[in-house]
Amino acid sequence: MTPGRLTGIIAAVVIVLVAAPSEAAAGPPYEGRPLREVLAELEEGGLALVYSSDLVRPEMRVREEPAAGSIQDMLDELLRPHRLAPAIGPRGRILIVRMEARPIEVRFGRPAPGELVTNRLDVLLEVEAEEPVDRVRILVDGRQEAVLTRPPFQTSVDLPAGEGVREVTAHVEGGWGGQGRASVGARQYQVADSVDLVLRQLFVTVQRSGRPLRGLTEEEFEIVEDGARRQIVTFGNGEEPLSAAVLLDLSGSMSGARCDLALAAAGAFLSRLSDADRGMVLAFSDRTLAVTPFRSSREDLAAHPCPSPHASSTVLNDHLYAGLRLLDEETARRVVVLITDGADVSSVLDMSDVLWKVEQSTATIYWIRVRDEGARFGSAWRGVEDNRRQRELLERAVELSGGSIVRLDDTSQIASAFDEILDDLRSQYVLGYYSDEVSSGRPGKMRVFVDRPLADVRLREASRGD
Amino acid sequence: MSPPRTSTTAGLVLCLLALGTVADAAARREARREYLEILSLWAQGSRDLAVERLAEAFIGSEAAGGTMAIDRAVRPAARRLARNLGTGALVSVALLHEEAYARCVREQPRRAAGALRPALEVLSIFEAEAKTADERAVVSALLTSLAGRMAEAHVERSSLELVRSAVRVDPTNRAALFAVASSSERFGDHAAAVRSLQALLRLDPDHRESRLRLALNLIRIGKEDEGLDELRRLVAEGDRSDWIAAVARQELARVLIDRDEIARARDVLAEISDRRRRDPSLAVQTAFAEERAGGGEVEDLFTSLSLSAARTEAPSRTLYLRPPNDLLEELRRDLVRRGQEWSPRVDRFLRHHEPVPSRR
Repeated sequence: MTPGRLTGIIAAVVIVLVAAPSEAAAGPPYEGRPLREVLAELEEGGLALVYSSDLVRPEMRVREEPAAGSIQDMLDELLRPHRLAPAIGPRGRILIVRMEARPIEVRFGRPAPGELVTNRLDVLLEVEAEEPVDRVRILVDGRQEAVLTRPPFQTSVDLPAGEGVREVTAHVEGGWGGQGRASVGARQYQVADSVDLVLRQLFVTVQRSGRPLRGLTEEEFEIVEDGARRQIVTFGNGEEPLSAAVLLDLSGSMSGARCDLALAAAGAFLSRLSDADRGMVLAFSDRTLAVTPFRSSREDLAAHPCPSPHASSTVLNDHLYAGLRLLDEETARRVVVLITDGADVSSVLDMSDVLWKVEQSTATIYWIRVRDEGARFGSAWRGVEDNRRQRELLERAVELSGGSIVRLDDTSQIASAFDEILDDLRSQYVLGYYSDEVSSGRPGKMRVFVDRPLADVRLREASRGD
Repeated sequence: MSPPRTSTTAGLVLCLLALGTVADAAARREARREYLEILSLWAQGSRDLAVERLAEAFIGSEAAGGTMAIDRAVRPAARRLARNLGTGALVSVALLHEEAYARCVREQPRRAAGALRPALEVLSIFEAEAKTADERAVVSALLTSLAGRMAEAHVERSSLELVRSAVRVDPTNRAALFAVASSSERFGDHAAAVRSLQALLRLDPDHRESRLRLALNLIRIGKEDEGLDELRRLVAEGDRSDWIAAVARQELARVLIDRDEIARARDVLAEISDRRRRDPSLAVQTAFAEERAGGGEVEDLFTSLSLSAARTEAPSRTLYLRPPNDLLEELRRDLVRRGQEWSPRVDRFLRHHEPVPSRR
C-alpha cells in the first residue's frame, strides 16, 4: 500500500469520528453567517482545522445552508463557493487550501460536426465544471455572436448569407478561473426561395440472357440520380396502358409478300392490345401511304392494302419524327414500333433532329430491323458516309429511348418480333421517385440497379409532373 | 522403227485447228449476215424488231460465256458506213445499240454488259473519225445518252466516266455537265458537282434545277452564304408551284432552323403552294419548326399526313433524286432526229453495197 493512500484513509476516519458529536448537537443554521465563525464552531466540536486568515477572510459568509449528511461533504459545501477545499494535513489535521482550477469540459449538443445549417444556427452546449460557470462566449468564425451566463447554455445565432463551413467555438469561463473551450464545424448552405420536387417515373425493363425477369420487388431496385440514391415512392408492373405507333416502311425491299406479312403482323399486334391500350399505324415509302388514328383495329388496317412497289426511296427520319410527335398527345405509356431496314433516302430531317425529339419525348422505340441488302448507298441527298451516320444515329435513338432492336433474318419472323416486343412491354416495371432538380434545370443523370446477378437493365423516363 | 508419235499428234492438232477455223469463218459469216439484216430493219423503220433481235443476240452472247461472232461484225460494218457515208451515219447505228442495251437492261440486266461493249465500240469509231465541232458535239451527245442509260441501270461509276468523256469531247454539252454534276453529287463529290454546275450555268444561266443543285452543293462544301443567296433568289422568283421552288424553300428553312431562326423558317415554309403543301416532308418540317419554337398542334400534323396519304404525285424530294431529265430528253430528241435523217441513206447503202449474204 502506498503512503499517500494510507494517509487519505486515516484522514477519512478522523473526519467521520469528529463528525458524530456535531451532528448530535444541532445548532443554528450556517447560511449567512461568517465562514470563520462557522469553522470555529466546527473546531470547537473537535475538528482539527488549519487555515490562513488570508484564505478565510472575515467578509466571507456561508452562501447556502449545507445539505450534506457528513462532515466531509458539509465542509466541501461550505468552502467550495469561496474556491476553498479541505485537504489532509500532518497528523490528521485538516488543511483549508485554495482550490486548484480544473479544466472545464464543454461539448456541443448542436450543431453536430458537419451539420447542415441555413442562415440560423442553433447552439446547445453541455458543460461539466466543478466551479460555477461565470459566462460562455459563442464565436462563429472567430467573431463573438452571443454570451451566456447561466444554464441551459443554449441560443440561436443569425448567420450572414453565404455558403461554406462555419467554425463555431464556445469559450467557458469558470468562477474560479477554470476555462473550457470547444469548436465544431457546421456547413452553411444557401436556401433558394423555393425548391421544386419533380416526380419522375421510369419504365424499367430487366432482362437476363434476353428474357424478361419478372416478379422483382421494390426492394430489389435502387435508383441513383447524379450519384445520390433516391427513394422509390411508387412501384408498379407493366400492366400500365400503352399507346403504340406502328411505323411501317413499305418501300423497295418491303414490297409484295413482305408487305403483306408486315401488315398482317401489325394488325395482329393491334388486336392483342388491351381495351385500355391505343394503337395506330403510319405506313410510308417516299411518301405517307397510310395513317390511322389511335384506337385503330386490325380491321382499320385492312382498309389499307400494300402499295405497288414503285418507290425505291424511303422517308424514314421524317416519319419517325411524325410518329413520336403524334404520341405527344397520348397520356399512356408511349411506344413506337418501327419496321424498316433503317435506310433513309430523302427525308428533310436529319436523324440528329429525330434524336433531339427522342430526348424531348418519353416514347420507347422498338426497331424491328429487316435485313438490309444494300447497306452502303449514296443518293443525291446524302453520300455513303452520311447514310452510315444516319443509321448509327437511329441505333443511338433506340438505345436512348430505352427500347431495343429486334433483328430479322427473314420477314416471316415479323409476327414473332411483334410478340417479343409486346412481351417486353408487359414485363416492364414502373418506378417513381422525387427528383430535387429545380424546374428550370435539366433532369439529373439517373441509373437503376437491380439486385440480381447478370441482369441487363434498360430504362426510359415515363412521365414528369409536379 | 515406228513412226514418231509426235508428228501424228501434230497432224491431228493441225487438222482440228483447220476444222475450227472453218467453223469460225462460218460463224462470222452468219454473224455478219445477222447484223446487216438487223441494221437494215433499223434503217427501214422496223425499229422495235431490230432492237429485239440485236438484244437477243447480245444476251445469247453473254449466256454463251463471252464475245460471240456478232460482236466482231459491228466494227467492220460501222467503219464501212463511216467511210462511205460519213461519220454522221454512225448516229443511227449508235442509237440502235443504245436501244438494244436499254432493252437488255430491262429484260436481262445481268447480261446487259454484252450489249454495252459494241455500243461503246461504235462510239469510239465515231470519236476517232469526228473532225468538225458539230461531229464532236454529236459524239458527245451520244456518249451522254448512253451514259444516261447506264445510270438508269445503276452502272453509275462507268456512267460518270462516260459523261466526263462527253464533256471533254464537247465542253458545251449541257446535258453532260448536268450528268457529271448529278453523279458527282450522288458519290459525295460536291466540289466536282459545283464546278460542273457553274460551267453549265455559264452556258444556261436560267436552268433552275441546276441553280437549285448548285445552291445545295455550295452549302455542302461550306459555302453556306453563297448557297443561301441562290436559294433566296429561287424562292423570290415567285413560281411557288413547281417542285424546285418547294425544295428550295425547304432547304432554306432547314438551314434557318439549324441556325435557330425558327420564325423566319416558318415564314419560308408557309409560302409553299397548296399543291406542294401535301408533301409529307413539308408537314413534318413545319411541325418540327413549330415544336422547336415551343408550339404547334399535333392535330395539324395528323391532318396533313392524312391528306398527303391520299395523293399520288411524287414528292418534291423524290423528284430531286431523278436522273438528269429535261436536258437529256432534249438531247435525245435531237439525236433521234439526226438518226432518222440518216436512216434512208444507210438503208440505200446497205441495199446496194452491203447486200445481206444469203444463208448457206
